[in-house]
Amino acid sequence: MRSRAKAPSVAGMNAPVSSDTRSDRPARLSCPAVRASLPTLLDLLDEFCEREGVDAASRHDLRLIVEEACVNVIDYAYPPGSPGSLTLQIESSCGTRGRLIEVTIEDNGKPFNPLTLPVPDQSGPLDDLPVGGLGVHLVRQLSNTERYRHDPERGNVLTLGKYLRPATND
Amino acid sequence: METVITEQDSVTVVAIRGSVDSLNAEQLTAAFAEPIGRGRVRLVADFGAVTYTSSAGLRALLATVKDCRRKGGDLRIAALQPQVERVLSISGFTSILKIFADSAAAVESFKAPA
Repeated sequence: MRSRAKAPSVAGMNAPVSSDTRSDRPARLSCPAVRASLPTLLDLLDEFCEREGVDAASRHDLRLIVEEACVNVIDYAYPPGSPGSLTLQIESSCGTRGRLIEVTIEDNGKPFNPLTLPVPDQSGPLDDLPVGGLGVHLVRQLSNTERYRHDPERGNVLTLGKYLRPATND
Repeated sequence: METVITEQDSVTVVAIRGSVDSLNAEQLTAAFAEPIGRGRVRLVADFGAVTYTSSAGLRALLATVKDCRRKGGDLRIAALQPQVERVLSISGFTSILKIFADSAAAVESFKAPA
């Protein structure tokens, strides 16, 4: 159950984003780890990217990162038929390499670090092409930072970051 | 996502529009399976209006190309947008699938001896 009301949108003006601190308005949503939650999760990302003025190419990659990471949780974190929760948090910060958008996916399923999966071998013939692990491979290729930890309370915590292209002045 | 199927001689073109993701990739597999079920195994997937595909879409392509080739045909890809082509490339799909600049070229390729 969500107990917090959605943050009001700032109509008609863009809130200035501090240049050297973490965004004070991370987006966060907890929902059941089921396929039907995907549109809501992706909407959260869309709204965040809109608000933060994220460029189209980065939005594309972030959408893929969020879809793949969430689908992994939905499909594998919990026993079939008894889905637990999935939490998505999105935040923006500025570092030495420019603006970084980080998405954090949390679940309370069995401890699993997807970053330990081997890179799929794509050199073999068609019939040997591995289909499993493709999503994680894409996530790792499209993100710039990846970290995983298992937290006693939050469970699996996977954080994936994407640096934005330097903004161009108009 | 929407698909429109047209037939050009022995080739079936499946024009796809929108995003292919975990929620609709099965629809795409079904759209390919329909002509295959009628024995039409020379397929072109026209990606001209596809702005996004996740690994679910790639799995649909992989299952379909395997099925087509097993039956003596092929699934060929046309008109990839840059961001979608990058996803196929990262996944190793650009070396397994035959990719063409547009649908007409992909259709034409079936007429040349393999």
